[in-house]
Amino acid sequence: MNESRKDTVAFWLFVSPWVCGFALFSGEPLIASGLLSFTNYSLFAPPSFAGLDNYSALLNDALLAKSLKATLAYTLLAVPFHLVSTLALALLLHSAVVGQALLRTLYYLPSLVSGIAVALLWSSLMDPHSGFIHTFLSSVLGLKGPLLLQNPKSVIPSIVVMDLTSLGSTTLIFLAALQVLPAELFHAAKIDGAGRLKTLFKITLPLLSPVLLFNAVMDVISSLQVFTPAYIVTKGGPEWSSYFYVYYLFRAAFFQFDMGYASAMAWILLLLTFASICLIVALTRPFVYYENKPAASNKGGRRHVV
Amino acid sequence: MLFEANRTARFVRIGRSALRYSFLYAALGFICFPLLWMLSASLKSTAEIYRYPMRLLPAKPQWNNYVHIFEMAPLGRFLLNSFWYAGVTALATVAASSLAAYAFARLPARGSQVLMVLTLATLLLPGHATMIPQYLLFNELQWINSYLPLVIPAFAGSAYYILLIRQFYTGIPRELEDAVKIDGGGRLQIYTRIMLPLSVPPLVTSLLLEFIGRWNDLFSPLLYLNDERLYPVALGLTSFSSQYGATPWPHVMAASTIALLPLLLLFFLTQRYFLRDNPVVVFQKRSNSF
Repeated sequence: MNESRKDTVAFWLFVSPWVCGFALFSGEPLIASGLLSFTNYSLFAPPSFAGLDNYSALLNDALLAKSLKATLAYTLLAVPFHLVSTLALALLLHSAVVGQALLRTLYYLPSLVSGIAVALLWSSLMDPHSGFIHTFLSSVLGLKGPLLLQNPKSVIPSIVVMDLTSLGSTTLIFLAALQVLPAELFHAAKIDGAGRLKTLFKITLPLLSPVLLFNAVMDVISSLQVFTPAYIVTKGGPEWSSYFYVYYLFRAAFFQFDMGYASAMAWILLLLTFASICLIVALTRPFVYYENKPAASNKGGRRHVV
Repeated sequence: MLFEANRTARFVRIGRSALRYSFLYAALGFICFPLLWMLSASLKSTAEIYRYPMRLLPAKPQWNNYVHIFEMAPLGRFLLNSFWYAGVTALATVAASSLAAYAFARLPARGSQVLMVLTLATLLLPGHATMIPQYLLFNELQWINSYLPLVIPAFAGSAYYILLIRQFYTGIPRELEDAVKIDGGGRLQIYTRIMLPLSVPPLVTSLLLEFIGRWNDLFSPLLYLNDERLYPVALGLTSFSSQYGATPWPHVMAASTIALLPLLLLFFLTQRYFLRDNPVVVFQKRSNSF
């Protein structure tokens, strides 16, 4: 056996756990859920072909519309909040010399707390009877009534605020990306007399754009799948205003045992995710720096978003 | 004149830096406040939680809360479950990922480029899209209410770690492989004697990230485990909040603190691989997204 032949055999042996595992546990289920979405299936009887019934039912489902609205509202609020605040923190942290290592660690620590504990913690802080935030708002600002999690208008922003504890991990990602940017460009900008704002918008942000895009995409993917706050804190309420898509999917599948309908929902989620990614990539195309760069400063973005 | 200008410049610089640090510390307050509140509330009595006006610190720390939580629910059991579950799955995922990463970094084969693109594409798949047929598959195999559906898929590895580790392998000089080749060693020996020993930082980072992710995961355990005694600690926290009518907040917070401690310990032990100016962190999987 010659060397290149050996390489090929070894390649497939080494990737076989990944390829087989993915095909079995993700690929096959993905296709199966596509097929199931055209059936009526309740777990207790074998699936029966239902044509497009599930999809036409989706169109007339008022609850689905509400859950889509809640999920999109959350995503549209959470992703910009998350990206802007973490980027701002990373930029500040990058230029802070004293105590940077300590701040970095302290920012990161709260993101070790599990989503469940975070959700429980915030629901305690936002509790209308004993919660710190409620007490603060009513005693200091004089705000009364069903605020925060009990009000359909404020429940989504309140859930976005819960994300505060996990800001640290994304901040560190941006900080790491900032620290490997080529220093000579910044020297050159300084010599040319560029001010801080100009340097930020003409050099730092363009160089960072692949990492920003990558994080925006991953953020959108995970935000569209938001589940824990609804499951732990709000149970989808009040008035279905936080009835997130995956929470509905979970209930349709494991409370109503409507596997066919839930599979159709899963495929809609898949399409929605891909549509959002395409939209982001198309909208940001003029602003993202796609030129070839040395490997060290090109960690995240462009290769990932084909 | 010159002296004056220098002084103004200095004032501006000091002002700027004061502003920067006050922002950074204000942000630190917001980010860390919930964590500190958790610690404080875990030491309060139930009556004190509901007292008005509230205090930031407990009047008299109730250390007993930390004893009671082990009686209210099988918390020790939960922790044990989490340790072996997160440990085994982290090892399995990173082992499989590092094998695939080696193949992508060093073994030229037809189709490897296409497979790489497909691997990247899997990052974009929303995991919940495959939830139902996956459940049906494991139901068919009679694996429900056991750890098999949670552990076995981990042996496939994950695209995140394949990319992260591959990046590192690609940077290892090829000349190092020559020594193994002269000894007549094959590709497996190159992998075990050169690649693995030189790649401790990305391997430890991956292990840690996956361990944290599994330790904190809610969704899969919720789906597959029915028996409370099988719960990992993250899911076990829900049995504190829903068991009784009114939520016993001090106990929930104490249990949350206990659930966090092993991760803190692990984090400080591995920090030198993990939190340096390490570009590796750029790839970091958001372990804590909801």
